[in-house]
Amino acid sequence: MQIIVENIAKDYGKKRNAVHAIKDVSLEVSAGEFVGIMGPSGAGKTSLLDLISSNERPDHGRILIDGIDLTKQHDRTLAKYRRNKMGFIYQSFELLDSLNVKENIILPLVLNHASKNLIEQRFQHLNQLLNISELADRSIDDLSLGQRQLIAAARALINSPEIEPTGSLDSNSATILLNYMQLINQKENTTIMMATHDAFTASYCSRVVFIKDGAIFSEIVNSGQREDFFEQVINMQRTIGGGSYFNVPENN
Amino acid sequence: MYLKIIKRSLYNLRDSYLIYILSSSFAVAVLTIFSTLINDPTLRSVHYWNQTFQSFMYFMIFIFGFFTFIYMTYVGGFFIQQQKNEFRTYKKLGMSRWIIAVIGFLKTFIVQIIAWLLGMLVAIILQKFVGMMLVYLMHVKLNFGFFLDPMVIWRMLKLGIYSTFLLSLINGVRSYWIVRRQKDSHKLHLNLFFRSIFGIIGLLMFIGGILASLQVFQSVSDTQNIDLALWRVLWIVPLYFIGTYLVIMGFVPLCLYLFDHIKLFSYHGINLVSYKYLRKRLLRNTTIIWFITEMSALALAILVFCYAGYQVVYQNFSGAYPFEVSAISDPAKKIKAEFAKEKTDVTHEYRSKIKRTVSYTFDSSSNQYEPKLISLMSYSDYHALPKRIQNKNPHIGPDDFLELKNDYQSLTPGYRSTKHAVQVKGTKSIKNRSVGSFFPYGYMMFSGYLFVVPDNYYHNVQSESTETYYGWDIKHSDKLSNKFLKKLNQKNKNPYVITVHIGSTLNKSYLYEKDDQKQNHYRPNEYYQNGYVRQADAKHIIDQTSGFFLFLVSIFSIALLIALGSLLTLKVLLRDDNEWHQLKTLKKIGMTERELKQIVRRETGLLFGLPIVFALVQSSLSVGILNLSVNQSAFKPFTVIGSAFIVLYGLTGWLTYILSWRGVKQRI
Ligand SMILES: Nc1ncnc2c1ncn2[C@@H]1O[C@H](COP(=O)(O)OP(=O)(O)O)[C@@H](O)[C@H]1O
Ligand SMILES: [Mg+2]
Repeated sequence: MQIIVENIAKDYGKKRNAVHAIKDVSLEVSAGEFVGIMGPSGAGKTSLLDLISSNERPDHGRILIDGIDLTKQHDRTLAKYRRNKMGFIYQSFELLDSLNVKENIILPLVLNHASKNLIEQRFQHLNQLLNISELADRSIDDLSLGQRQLIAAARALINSPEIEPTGSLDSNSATILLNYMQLINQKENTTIMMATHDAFTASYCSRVVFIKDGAIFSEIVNSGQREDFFEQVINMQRTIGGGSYFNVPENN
Repeated sequence: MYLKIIKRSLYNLRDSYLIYILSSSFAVAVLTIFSTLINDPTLRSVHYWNQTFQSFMYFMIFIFGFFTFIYMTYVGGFFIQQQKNEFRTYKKLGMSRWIIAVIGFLKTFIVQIIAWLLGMLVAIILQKFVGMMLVYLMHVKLNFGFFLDPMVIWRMLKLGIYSTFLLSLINGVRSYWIVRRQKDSHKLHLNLFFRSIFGIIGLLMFIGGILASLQVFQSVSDTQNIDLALWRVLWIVPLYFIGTYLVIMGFVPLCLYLFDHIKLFSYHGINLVSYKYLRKRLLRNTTIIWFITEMSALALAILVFCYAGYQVVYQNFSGAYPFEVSAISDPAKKIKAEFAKEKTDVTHEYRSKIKRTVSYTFDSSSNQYEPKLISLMSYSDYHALPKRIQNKNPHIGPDDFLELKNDYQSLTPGYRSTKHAVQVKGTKSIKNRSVGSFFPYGYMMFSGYLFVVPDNYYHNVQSESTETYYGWDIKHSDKLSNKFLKKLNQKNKNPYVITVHIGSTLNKSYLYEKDDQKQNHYRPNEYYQNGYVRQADAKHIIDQTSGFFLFLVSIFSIALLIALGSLLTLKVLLRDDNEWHQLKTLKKIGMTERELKQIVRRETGLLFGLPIVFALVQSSLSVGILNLSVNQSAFKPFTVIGSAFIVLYGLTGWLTYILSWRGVKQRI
């Protein structure tokens, strides 16, 4: 799946004290790319992903996914789109604490009125990859941060989405997940976009886009060597400055 | 800085505060208007105002004020609850609990004062209008002037300040308490097992209540033992009250839990989310749903009681005045002459003969047969009367007997019993008969019993005193002048007294008539005969009473619906952060607007549906009791009032749903 972002802009708030979260961003992501988005806090990473995933509408510009202009679609179409074509891992995970682990994971399928067989089959498939079956009946409140991330990822993957905009993955325990994401990125040609503060996490990507003050600052492409790429990312972070790159979980 | 905090949080909750202020000021306006009406000079010139309506009004003000205060206290709690997290953050930032309490106090104070002043302002503007409406409804031809007693205004103002102070104090204390813990425990206070047990007990109690009340109705219609029934009702009411609470607390959540665990239901679209969500909302809102249930039940019962009360008054009126004018033969001639003179538009004249004699009638209070006056009318004469009169009594054929006796006796045991035969002097005794209470020319025209008997029986009776009754239907008014009536009254108001001379046997007892001596007390064996009765003498009472009842009922229904609607709307609007978060998440992972709407709809449906179902069951119980005591079926008015209530209630629910959905849509 291919994503084309053309000159989008987004303000939050009323006229006088509006925040220009995104100012004129253009970006092209081809099918099967694994793109990281980095930048200081408040740079506009989350806003950008919210726009691409159609949770928000841009004030200007277009977003084309496989040639379809998201900005022209009806809200209902977009909701179905999010449910079926995209998977999300949000910074704060956005898990429902009234549902148990398994119910959280299968929620997108159930909303689609999928058959019970299909639901079981998909769940088992994910279980083989992420090994989540022993958590299945637990309550979300009892999970560690790393486990929550895993569950959020499992929910994102249950529909075998074609794009996967991802909030920041800041936990070191996410290595399994990162490996798995790289795997599906290569095997199933899933397009992944991921916001992160963590250079190590970012080094799994094929390309990293840096954002500052709502605009694209620069981008670097992974030439194949992860260690080299990691160094490059670190350097670029230093260049941008003006923000914390420590491993702090953000509040969304 | 504190003022800024207060200003901001008032602004943040502006929708909810607006609803609250509007509904509270409505209540204050009604209270103020009622208080000014009590001593209103225009109304005081209405005869019945000073006598009965005024004290009724005091009572209503008390009830209304009481519920208003409860309402304000209750809703005040919602707002503090809603600001829980904010207050806790202040505390984390180092604000002392005292300051937080002061903030809670001031916020309530501001809102309360605004509501109160607004209400009084509305009252001042609308006072004349409401007064005019009341006067119009009561058919009193008076010009309602603008009148505001400064004393009343001053008193209301004082009351406003006191209650504002009290409510602010309550909310200050609430704020102080709510910050003592940093987090609510997510665990429900009572585990599902105990809840379910309580819920099932509750359901059993509720069903038990229904069965017990059905049994009461059954037993009462058999034995007519009202005392026992009322005594049992005292046992049944708590069954309903507690049962309902337990069902809402335990049984409904259990049902949702079961649905949730049967994958056939729960793994189906939004069910996976909504059962759990609803269960959480339900557990959180148990008390309010219960409160609304009982309030609605009470309201329905009050409405039906008012209606039935009015019916009793009205029936009493039509029982006393079935014709525009009724008279016995002597004044009838003069009245007819006067009609002719005044060109009165008489549409119909009816006339029936009666025979009077002595009978042995069983007296259930002394438990023996006693000689009494009996009046007899033939079937043909009765049959010639208008249908509207016959329809109010049991239907009879030409060979049947009908006993008419006064309605006020209907509460005595054995009122309808026809076990004991009536022995009429010199002829066959009457065994089988129907019992009615609607006297053909109005009960005030008869003394003692009246029997409608088959024609040949009538001819066989030896009359000891005869009379002819006249009744006139008239278009517009009877045009009888005061002067004429005065003259008529001199001689014909109570023209004669019939005395039963009690002999050793029935055959030795006899009647004799004498002119009314204007004596003050009559002995039990003396019966006196009225000369005439006019509807015009009593019509204004009916108009005033029904207008007054109508006025109260409509104001009360509006107030009640506003209270219920705003309570539920606020409850739906005021979701806590966690609940908002869930809805937001659902949208983010791709729930369509339609599906979210469906969740909101189910939630509103549950919050509104549960109370009305339970309220209807409970209020039909009170209507059942009404049936027993008024001796007339109140089920028809109940159906009418009940369905009107459901419609209005449903509209409120629908409005809440719209508002609620708008709120959700804006925030996610
Ligand atoms: N819903 C919102 N309302 C108002 N301002 C917002 C909203 N979302 C984001 N912003 C603002 O937009 C800017 C970019 O935010 P965000 O995209 O969350 O940055 P990042 O994810 O890179 O930290 C910030 O200044 C933030 O305060
Ligand atoms: Mg962010």
